[in-house]
Amino acid sequence: MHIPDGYLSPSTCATMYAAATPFWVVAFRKVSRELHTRLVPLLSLFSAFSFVVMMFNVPLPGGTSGHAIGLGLAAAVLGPWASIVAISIALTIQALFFGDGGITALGANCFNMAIAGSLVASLVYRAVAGSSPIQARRRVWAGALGGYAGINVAALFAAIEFGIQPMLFKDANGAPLYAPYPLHIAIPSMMAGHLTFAGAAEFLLSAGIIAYLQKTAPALLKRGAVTQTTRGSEPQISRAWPAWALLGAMMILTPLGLLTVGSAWGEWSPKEFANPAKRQQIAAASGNVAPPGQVPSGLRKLSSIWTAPMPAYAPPVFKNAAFGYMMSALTGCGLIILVFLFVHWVAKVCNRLLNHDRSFPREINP
Amino acid sequence: MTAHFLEKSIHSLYRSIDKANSADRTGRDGGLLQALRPEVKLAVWLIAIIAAIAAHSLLFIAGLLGLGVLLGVASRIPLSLLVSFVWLPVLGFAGLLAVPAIFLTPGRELLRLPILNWTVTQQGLTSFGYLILRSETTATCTMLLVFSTPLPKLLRALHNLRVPRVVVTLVAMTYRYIFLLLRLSLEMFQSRRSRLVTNLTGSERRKLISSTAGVLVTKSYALSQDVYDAMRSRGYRA
Repeated sequence: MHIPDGYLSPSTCATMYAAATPFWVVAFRKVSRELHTRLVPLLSLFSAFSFVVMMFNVPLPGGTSGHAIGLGLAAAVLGPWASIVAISIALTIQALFFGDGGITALGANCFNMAIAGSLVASLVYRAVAGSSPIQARRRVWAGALGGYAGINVAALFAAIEFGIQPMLFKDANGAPLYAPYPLHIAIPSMMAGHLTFAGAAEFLLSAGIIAYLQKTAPALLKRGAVTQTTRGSEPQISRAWPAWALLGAMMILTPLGLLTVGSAWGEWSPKEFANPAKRQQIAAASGNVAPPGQVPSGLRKLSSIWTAPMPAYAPPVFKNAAFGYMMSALTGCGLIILVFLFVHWVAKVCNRLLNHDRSFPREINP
Repeated sequence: MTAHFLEKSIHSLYRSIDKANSADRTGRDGGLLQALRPEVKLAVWLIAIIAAIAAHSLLFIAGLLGLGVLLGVASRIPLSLLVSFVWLPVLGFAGLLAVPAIFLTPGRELLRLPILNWTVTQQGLTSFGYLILRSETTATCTMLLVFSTPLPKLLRALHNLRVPRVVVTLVAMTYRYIFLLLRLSLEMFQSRRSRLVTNLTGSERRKLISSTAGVLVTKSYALSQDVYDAMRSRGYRA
């Protein structure tokens, strides 16, 4: 999964560095605050461990073997932010000193494996492990599933990065300049290997190490045990961070919607019914059943009632469609968050009023 | 067959140690690249890699690769090192990914394979050329930098180029401890292999790898505490 130089265009590499930078900054700040002077030795050793464990050949059922990244273990022992830093450092050393993975693709490799992989692995680990005891079998499953989900999400990101290259970068003769396989080949090819062999290696290694640590060093699996600050305060990691990270990543990826051909089935506009080329697409998508010759009267009437301020996720003020998509995502998410904040505020006020009423002493209540 | 996975792991670990030792040896040789300032080498290396990625001409990328080989020879870096550590592994990995592009990329048909009836297109061949040449060129540039610059000088150059001190320290310490952990893993695998007298079942093999990795985690953590204490006792402040 280590993308070498030459598979991604310079602009994709720059975008991936830009996408990874905020995560690196936040992770580094959080880890520095929690670890203080312990940061350097602890992260160095865990980065070295990540590097070494990637070389282990994990025997898989069926006689074959595969390599793992150790995402499930990092999620369980380090937590998401320290895991981002440790795996990023390991990937940097692999690229810089061992030529494994490209330097220009380092941003993409770190984004896929260290950032997306760690965040998803930690999210799944925490969701499955819940508040179960350290020795619980559930934690073994949590680590295994976290590792499996993490490596597969990392592979999916890599496949998307590969798959968009031939759509965007070709030479004058139409030859792809970078990764040559479009999304419909890149995604199944990458995922086939990762859902089976690499995913199985990650699953088995994570489960095996966590089961081993439960017996020999359970303290390491206690949340914050490894990354606890030397200054005595508990690490403060918001429980909502995975949702925010996922939301941010999804907003960045919204322009991928532009790569789809035709409109979503059943979401046709009156204009599309009138366009012969679109009518053919509608018929092809509907099992070769031709759409009605005229725009249905109900659709015509109702579609004129409301005109959206950002029709088709393309605000007219933005010339760039991809930027318009991202701004639409940002606006939409912002509005939803505002609505929820308002509902939360109303609920809080109502709750306060009700509690105030209940706390009134009954004896003197008339 | 029993120790197959152990041998594979041992081989991977040995190969990494071997690569680093070779880099250490060639970095101290007197050659053209060794005589240059590491900061200059870092800047030129970055420019060469970006040029190889951004170029839209196979000839230009091939020229860069040729220049790299000449620089390697002038710097007394044995070609066998480049072949075994760079060209063959990159060709194996990049070639595996790139070969299907010859047949899958639509374009002008050049020839049709007999029996299989697969079509080789001009665009497919060009795309294959881009992938292989770019991967080989960038990997050669990186290895030339590593094989011609001892680690302390490279780290000093990173520091001089304003890379944050804590990042340089992290990279330096991680690099050093990688070898300690590689040796520890190697010893664990070898000691286990020397005691194996029978075939292990699949689940026993997985248990062996997991427990080795588990021991490595606990040792890493204990070692980080020791290193931290040693650093503090010497007055280290972040």
